[in-house]
Amino acid sequence: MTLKLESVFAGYGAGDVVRDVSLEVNDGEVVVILGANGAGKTTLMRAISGLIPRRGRITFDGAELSRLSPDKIVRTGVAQVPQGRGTIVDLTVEENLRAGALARHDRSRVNEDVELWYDKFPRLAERRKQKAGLLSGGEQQMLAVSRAMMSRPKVLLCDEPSLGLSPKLVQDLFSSLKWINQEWGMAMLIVEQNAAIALSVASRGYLLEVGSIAGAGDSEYLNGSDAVRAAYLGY
Amino acid sequence: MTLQHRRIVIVEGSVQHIALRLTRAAAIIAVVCGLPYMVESFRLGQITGACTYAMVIVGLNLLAGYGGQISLGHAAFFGLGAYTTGVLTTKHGVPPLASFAVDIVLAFAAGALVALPALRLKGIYVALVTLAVGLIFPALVSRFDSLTGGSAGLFGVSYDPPNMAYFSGFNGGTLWHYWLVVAGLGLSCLVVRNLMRSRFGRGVVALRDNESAAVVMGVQRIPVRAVTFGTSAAIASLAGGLFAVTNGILTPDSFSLLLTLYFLAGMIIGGTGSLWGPIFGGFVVYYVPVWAADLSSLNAGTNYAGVLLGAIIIVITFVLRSGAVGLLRSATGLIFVVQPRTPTATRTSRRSAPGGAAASGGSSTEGAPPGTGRHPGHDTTPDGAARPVRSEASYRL
Repeated sequence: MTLKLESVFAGYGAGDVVRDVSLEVNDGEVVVILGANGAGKTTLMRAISGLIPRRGRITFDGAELSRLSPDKIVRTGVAQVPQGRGTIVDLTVEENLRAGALARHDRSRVNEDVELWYDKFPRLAERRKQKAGLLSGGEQQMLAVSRAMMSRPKVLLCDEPSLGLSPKLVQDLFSSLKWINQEWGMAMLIVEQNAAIALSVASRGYLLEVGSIAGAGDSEYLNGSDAVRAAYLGY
Repeated sequence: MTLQHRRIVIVEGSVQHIALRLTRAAAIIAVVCGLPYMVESFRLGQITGACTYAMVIVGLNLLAGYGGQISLGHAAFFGLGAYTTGVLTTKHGVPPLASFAVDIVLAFAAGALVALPALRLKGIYVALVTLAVGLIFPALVSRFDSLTGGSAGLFGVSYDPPNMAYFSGFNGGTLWHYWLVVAGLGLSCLVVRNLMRSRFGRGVVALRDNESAAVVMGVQRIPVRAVTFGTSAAIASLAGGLFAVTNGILTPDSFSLLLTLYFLAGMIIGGTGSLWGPIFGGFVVYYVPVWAADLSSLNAGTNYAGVLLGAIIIVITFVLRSGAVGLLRSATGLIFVVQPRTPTATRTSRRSAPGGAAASGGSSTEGAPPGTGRHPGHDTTPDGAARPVRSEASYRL
């Protein structure tokens, strides 16, 4: 079960932002996409989730994602934690979690999953009846991750999860992601600017520069690579 | 902090909480049943009228309040129901109750149809599509005057009360109309409430708050929007049918664009996206013109209804964004707070394992990859054996 992109192009009309991108995420693997602002990371994520027009082949688990609408893509098992968390501010925390399970029909298991994520993030349990818009940034990110997991995905796409979080919260968040990967065997594709922390959980990574893949390798290689170090690690 | 101490804290699901809810329900029932005995017949007629407006606003609130899509065509859906019932009962001898069913089906279809072009559009353009509907409707009614009576009006729409002692008195007709409309209003509130508490309702709010996040969660944009629009129109249309039988006379002027604006005003005044707000708003938009007419009669030639509503809306938008219901909520919030129950009961119960769904998900390719056994809190027993025990343990309520 591999999420596979083969020469994908995507953009917003005038021109392609993402050009000829090919990559794959294998079973149980955490893959990171590093790139500067404007490199096309979010565009790529939106293309995979079907939010914008795209060309090329995107396949997962035998399904041709490039031909499916976003709600069908979720049902194939590809969930996204959107950039900026995508909190539904007027729903309560619990309703947000349940909204994550919209594509599922096994009600009793949904109830179990809600409890499971309350267990993992007790802060969410304390605030379950509060409007999600009132949560702090860190709490909203926990909510976004657990909400995406509520759909019981097979691959989790995380679009810059560290955005707007303090270093401590970023640490916590990535250890949660690592936990999800290890305990659930969850495959993940994480887009990040914080290269150091992203590479610490990922096994492989790709470098995205002005819409194209500029490099790829395993985490150790990327960590040692001069290009990555100069551009993203800052030393 | 001091305020916090003085407030009465009621834990959700406790005896006090249940008692509070029962009292509220009892109060509502008492008012609804008691009104016919407390007010004069003509006042009851006014309340009936206000309730029909309230019904439309309940429907509009589903679309605009919860769904975030402004409709400028709700008077048209209201009118569609009114004329459908009017024409069917007076010209084709259809029983009124059956005509109500036709109202609902017809308006649902019309609403869903309007929603489809509106789906491609955003914000102000959605309003424009519905504006077209709102503008066309009175013109159509006038144009097909052989069917609708045109601007002269359609007369003699009625629904005779059943043969019961309660409805046989001097005010029997008024009572019957009151109960019909109260039933319609209750039904619409129930439909909206249940919809909004369901998976569908979460999808509706999610689409309003954050469309792309909603879509990546799996919300099916087109069906959700179409059903929301359809249901909203169907409620307005049923209200129209009730309006027709309670009013008896229909003219195209009764369903002008101005009426839609009154409905929108009522929704905002009552409290957008709330359950009780629309009912209150319905009464406001019904009674403001009535009172304004009283005022105007002292000062002939001027109509204060628009001025009054305008003033109320300005006040609401500046100081009370959540409408009358919001005000009530903050007022009661000073006296007591309902504390949500934290899910402690299940803390001790056996955690469910994510691997379970993978195995039971039916997807043959899934096969619970490297480790059903590695999943958190997983039993050592194989998946199938553990399942029934687990679902029992973590089920609450």
